[in-house]
Parts: sequence; C-alpha cells; structure tokens
Amino acid sequence: MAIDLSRFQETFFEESSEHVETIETGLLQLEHRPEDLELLNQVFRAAHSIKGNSGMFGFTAVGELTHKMENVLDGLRNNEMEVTEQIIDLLLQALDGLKSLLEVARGSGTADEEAIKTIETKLLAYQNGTERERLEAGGPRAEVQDKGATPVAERPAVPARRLVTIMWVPLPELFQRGLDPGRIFQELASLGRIHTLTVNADRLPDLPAMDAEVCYLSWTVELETEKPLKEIDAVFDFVRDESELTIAEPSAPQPPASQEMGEDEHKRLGEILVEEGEITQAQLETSLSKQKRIGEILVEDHEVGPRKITKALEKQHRLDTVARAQRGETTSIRVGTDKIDKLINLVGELVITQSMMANLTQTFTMDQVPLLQERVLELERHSREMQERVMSIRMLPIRTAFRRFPRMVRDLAIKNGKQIQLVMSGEETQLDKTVIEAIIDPLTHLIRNSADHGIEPPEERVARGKPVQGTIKLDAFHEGGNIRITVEDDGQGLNWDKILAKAKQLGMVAEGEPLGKKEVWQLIFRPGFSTAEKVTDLSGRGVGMDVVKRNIESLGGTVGVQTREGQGTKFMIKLPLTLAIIEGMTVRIGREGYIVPLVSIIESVRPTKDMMKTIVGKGEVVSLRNMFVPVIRLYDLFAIEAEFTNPVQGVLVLVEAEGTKVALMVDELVGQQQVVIKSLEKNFQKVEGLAGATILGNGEVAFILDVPGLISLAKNGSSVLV
Amino acid sequence: MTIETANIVDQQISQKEDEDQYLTFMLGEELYGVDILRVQEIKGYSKLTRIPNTPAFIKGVLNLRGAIVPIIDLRIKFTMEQVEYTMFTVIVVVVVRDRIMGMVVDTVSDVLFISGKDIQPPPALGRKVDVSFISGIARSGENLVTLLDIDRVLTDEEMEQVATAQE
Repeated sequence: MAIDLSRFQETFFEESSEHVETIETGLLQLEHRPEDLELLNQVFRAAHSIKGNSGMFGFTAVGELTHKMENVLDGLRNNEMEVTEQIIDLLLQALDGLKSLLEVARGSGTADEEAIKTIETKLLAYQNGTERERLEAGGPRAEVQDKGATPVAERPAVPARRLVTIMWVPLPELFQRGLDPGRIFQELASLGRIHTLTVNADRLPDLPAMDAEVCYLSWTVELETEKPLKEIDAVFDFVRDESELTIAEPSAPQPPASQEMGEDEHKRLGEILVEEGEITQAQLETSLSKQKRIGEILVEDHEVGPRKITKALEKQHRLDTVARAQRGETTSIRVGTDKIDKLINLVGELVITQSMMANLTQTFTMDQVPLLQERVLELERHSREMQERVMSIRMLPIRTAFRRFPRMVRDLAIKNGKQIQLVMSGEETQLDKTVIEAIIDPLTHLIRNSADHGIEPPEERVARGKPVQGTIKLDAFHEGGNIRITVEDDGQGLNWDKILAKAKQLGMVAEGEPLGKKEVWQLIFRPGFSTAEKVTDLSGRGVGMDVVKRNIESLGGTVGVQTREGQGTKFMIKLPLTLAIIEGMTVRIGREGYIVPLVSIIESVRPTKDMMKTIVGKGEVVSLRNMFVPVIRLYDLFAIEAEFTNPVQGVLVLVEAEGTKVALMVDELVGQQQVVIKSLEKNFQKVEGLAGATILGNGEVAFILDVPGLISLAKNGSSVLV
Repeated sequence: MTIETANIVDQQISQKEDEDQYLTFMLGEELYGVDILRVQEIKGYSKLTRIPNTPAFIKGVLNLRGAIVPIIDLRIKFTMEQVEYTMFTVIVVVVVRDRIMGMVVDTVSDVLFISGKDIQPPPALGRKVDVSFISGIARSGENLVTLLDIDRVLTDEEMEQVATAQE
C-alpha cells in the first residue's frame, strides 16, 4: 500500500498558493524599489520552493516554468539584468501561467499551454540575451545556458493512455498480514480507469474445507491509464513479497478504440468542424461570440424577469459551490501553534474543573453551595475564554483579501492608460474567515469601478488641477462590534444629474418625484443601473453595485456612499466581525423573549406621557431630545399578547438600521448576553422581521430580531397570513 | 419472550418485498400512517416558541439538540377540532426534503406492515375536498389507515404562500 500522497499534495497546493502570493506582492513592490535585494531574494526563495516541491510531486510543467522564472530572477539578483517594467510584466505573466498550471495540477481549470510556451520562450530569451553578452565579455559561467535549455529537451514523453494488464496472485497468507486487496484496487482506480476486473476463484475449495482467513482468490485487472508502469508497480509495494505479480503493457501501445473514444467524448461540435476544415478557427470564434446566454434570451423573450434570472444564477452558483465542496476541495486555515497550545491548556483546565465538580456533586452537602457556585463560575470563565479562542482561530487579518488588489489596480491602470496608486491601510485588522472570503467579490467590484470610472485619464486630471496620479485608498478598521472597510478614490465623483437622468430614463424614478440626496446616491445600488458611457469587459454593464449591496447585506452588513463631484467617491462598508455569534440584548414581550442585536441598539428609555405623540397618518412617535422617532409596538406587529400596551409602562428600545431610527416597544429588558445564531431557514424558512433563532440557557428557543426587516415590515404594514 | 415480541419477529420474517412499514398515529378517532423511513424520532410534547406572523397550524419551533425545528399541529392543519395537549400528546419528528420538521399528533399507536396490494388510492371526494396529501388508504384488520404523503402535508401551497409573501 503506497503512502497516500494526496494528503501531502493538498499541503503542496496550499503552500504554493502562498508562495505565488509572495512572488506577486514581491514583484509589484520590486517595480518601485528595484534596488531592494532582500525583496528580490524573497521572491527568488518563493519561486525556488515551488520548483523544489513541484518536482517532488511530479508536476513537471510547474517545475519547468518556475525554473525559467528562477533563472531570470537569478540574473536580476546577480546584476546581470536590470529590473525593468518589461521584466516585471513578463514575470507577472509567467506567474499567471503558473497559477493556471497549479490549478490544472489540482485537477480543476485549464491552462493555456500556448501562452505558457510563449512566456517560457520569452523568459529564456531574456536570460540568454544576458548570457550572450556575458559570453562575449568572456564570462566564465557558460553552463547557465544549459541549465535554461535542458528542461525542454528533458521533458519526458508522457506515455499515452493504454490498457495495462495486471495479474495478481497473492499468497494465501495475505489476510493474516492485515492486507486488504480492496485498497489495492482503489489505488489502481485512482491511477486510471479500471476497464475490467476479473476474479479467479479456481483455487477456492468447497465450503467445508474453506478457511476464512486464507486468500484463495487472484485477480486480473485491465487498467486504462497513462501512468508509467513504475507507478502502477508502486501500488503493489506492500504486497510484493506475498504475491506473484505480472504487469504487462499491450504490444500495440495505444488501443485505438478506447483512445479515439476518450478524446471524442470531450470534443465540441465547433472543434470538430474546425478540425475537418469546414470552418476556420476565426469563423468559429465570431459565431461563438454571437451566442447568447440562455438567461439573456429568456429575458429578451419576456419569459422571465431579470430578477428571477439573477436569482437562478445565484442558486446555480450556490449549487456549484456545494458541488465543489463535495468534490473534496476542502478549505483549511493555517493556525499558529501558540493558539493551539493555549487552547489545549484551556481544555486541560476545563477538564480539571469538570472533574472537581463531579467530585463535589458526589459528596454534596448543602453547606458546600458557595463552593459549587465558585466552581460554576470557574467553568463559565473557562468556557467563555475557550469560545473566544476558538473564534479567534477563524479570525484572519484582512490582508488575505487585500493582497490581490495591488496587482489588479496595476493591470487596470496600464490597460486604461491611467496612473493609479493604491494605498492600503489596516491590513492587520482581523475578521472571520467566511466574512473575508465573502467580501472579496464586492471589494473587487468597488475597486474596479474606482479604477475604471472613478479616476480620470491623466490629461483630464491635469486640466482639473489634480495630481496626474490618481489615488485609491483602501482602509479597514474596527469600530465597536463591527468592522468598517472604506474604498475611496480622488476621481471625478458621482454625477448627480447624470444619475437622476438615467434613473428617469430607466423608469426607476417618476418625473418630478422629489428625492433627497441619500436617495439619489442609493439609486446606484439598484439592479440594472449604470451611467457608464463606455462598457468595459469588467464594469459598466449595470450589474454590479446591486450585487455588491446584496452580498454585503447577506453578511449582515451595510454599504453607504459619499461623493463630491470632481473630488472623489467613498464607499463605506460596515460588517459584523463574525457571523456565528452576536452580542444581544434579551427583551421580554408578554411571556416570550426576543433578542435584539446589541450593535443596532442606541439606547433604551421609559418614556413619560408627554413624550409620546401621535402624528396623523404617520402613527406614533416618541420625542427624544427634540428628535421624533417612530414607535413600533412589537406585540402589535407580531400579534402576540403583551403585558403592557401603554408605552409609559413598558420600555422603548431605540434602534438604528440603514440610517433610520425607530423605537421598539417591549415589556422589559432582561439582560445582555452572547447568543449563537441558529438558522431558521435550515429547517423552516425565512420569517420577516427575524434574523434567526438562538437557544437560551434553559433550552428554549428565542428569536433574534432583524432590525432592518422590522422597519420595512412596520412601513408596509404587518403581513399576517392565516 | 412475550407473545408480542414473538409476533414482531414473525412479522419481520414474513415481511415480503412489496411490504412497507408505517408508523401509525391517532388524530381524534382516525388512524393515520406515515412511511417509517421518514420518521426520525418520536418525542413528548414540550413547550414551543411561537413564530410571529405564521399560519396557525405552525405551532412554533423547538430546540432539538441544537437544531431549530418547526412544529406543525396536524389537527389545525386538517381543520379538525382542537384539543388540549395532554401527557399523551406527542411530536413525530420527520425528515421532509432534507429538512427536519415535527408534527403534533394525539397518540402514536403502532408500526404496521402494509403491502402495496392492500393500499387503495385515495377516494375522489369532489373538488371541494383536498385529498392531495393522502397517498392511499389501507386496511389493517378492522381499521382503515389513511396513509399520508408527508412531503405534501408539510410543504404544500400554504407553506409556499408564506414563503412567497416574504420575498
């Protein structure tokens, strides 16, 4: 039984992606600080590690490409070449190729082999260029050239897919040595496709004479694989001493039937037509570009609305994600050993406290009550600390999300002919891994928007008296129980008139409808809204800001925008630190408890009679320091029986969501506690006004209020369905 | 070994291929059955937390070892007369399309083996009476058992309505 390599491969991919990131950031910084040798060394080391590791796992293509990158880097290191924008560009391209090759090695994605070849040739050309110069100068290190050239020649011919016949006759003692033939077949199957598996039961005696611990069977396997015989042979490493084994390749190396089939199965119609010379590749591509997505066709035929399509697409995406997860692409977090050590310590403490309590309860007398209380307190302290520590494992610095942006901004700037610098701060701010992963897409979109539409072309900037180089600022910081991320540019800002005109044109705003400043800016978050005159491949299609908003809201966050025409735009994102646990205030209405998320609570008051006012057509308000806040009677909204129906007897909890303040009327404040959010949707469905449920200390279920939902519920009137 | 267990063993041995096991329970005077493979557990009635703004037949949610499980009162659902919950009132926890849900029933009575040929299609009672959630009617000795299509009982239009109203 061979060692399960896949386990180590996972580590390899993880490490490689870290190295790739190191190389990427390194190269980008190198562009600005070409003389920084330490930086260069760092990049070199990362490339070297990838090369070494990939060799170990037999990913030759990865190894070759990194080798060539390494040679160029080596040249830079030895001052044989200078760091120029072209070289950095080329190395970045090579890095992209490397990423795709790693994906392929991982078993997903495709690599543009042509492009990689071109890059490799270019890399070689760079290296050889300097080599020649040095040779002309009579330099001694001529072998470097060979180093660069050999891998191509060395590239082992990959054996074609063929049928390999394996005859395996294990010794009768196979089972007694604890070996399982099933495992062997599983491993064989992982090398290719098992075509036929024949069991030879000739040696099997009659039932009375049979010994269950003796292996009488032997097998003949026809394995369809492209793997070399050596690898197949390795599968039998552990049973070789106990078996007779013959592995035979077919005399004709490629069984034509299966070969043909294997390829044709994956061929597309267009490819075949091109192959048969009916059309050219160019024709095929023009025709393919005319092809529309099914969603677009359906919308055009008015079969379904665009919203339904978006929804369906989201569902598809979710399903894909699930499928990917099921394919075994596990995500993992690297955790510092110190964190784990501390956790183990804590677990130890917890176990000790628990056994002390067990002891205590066995011989419990009433006079030991204080002691018991003390122990319970200790237990509480430990479990709370443990909870915090476990949560902190999920916390990662937001740097992991930020570090892809310098490259993106650089590429966008070059493509658009602009000069843009990206200033990032607060990269060490920690937040939940799931939040980080989910925030990447919206952030990418906002930054792209800034680079594409926000920052003006250089001449325009000069004309406006701004510095030629535009600036995009990305910042993250903690504030209360939230994390705030801002994306700010010093570009042209949003255009009030243009947005309004466009909204009218799209029928989102009625003519003459009065709109406040806030409402106009909110228009850009509507589905289908875009004022861009030029549609690029990345932005301006009118899908985007609405998705940004929805993504952020699905994380329980909010997004706002501030803009000044001609001076820039600032997007502000507010997110919860974690999705699993919130700090909540338990309130009581009648006999039922509800949790109000603490982050949305501003204050709570018991109003006096003259603070309560009724406004005709607007309902009830409470006057607080000359501010009128609408009152939502929760018992009314939820149709439950409350102890008090007069606000003067109850308590008003002032909450804020999306810039709107309301006062929730409850019977009593019970207390503050951390609650674990449980999904209602998992077994039931979303209930308006409720963000989820939690389980209280007494085992009962209590609902967590969804403040934005409550506000809209109160606005639209309650929707009781009976 | 008591006679009862002996019977069960007999039954199990004699179980034929087209026979399915059904958990039967009482609602008033009537006997109902659900496919036993869909039943996750049976537990006594305990205090529920009411969900605001949901139809009356959704009694609330329950903490089932950390999962939030919605509970449906079948009496209300079937527009039967409501009764006080007693110590015999039980919750039958079933799995419906990957969701866990509970049904409040009067009492649980038995596990029956019913073969396919003993199941009659639900009678057509005219358009006024909805029989869509009945998968069939079977005879068990003296009694008739109404077999419920649990997917339809717990995820029919009413629930859909609640879902769409909230979009």
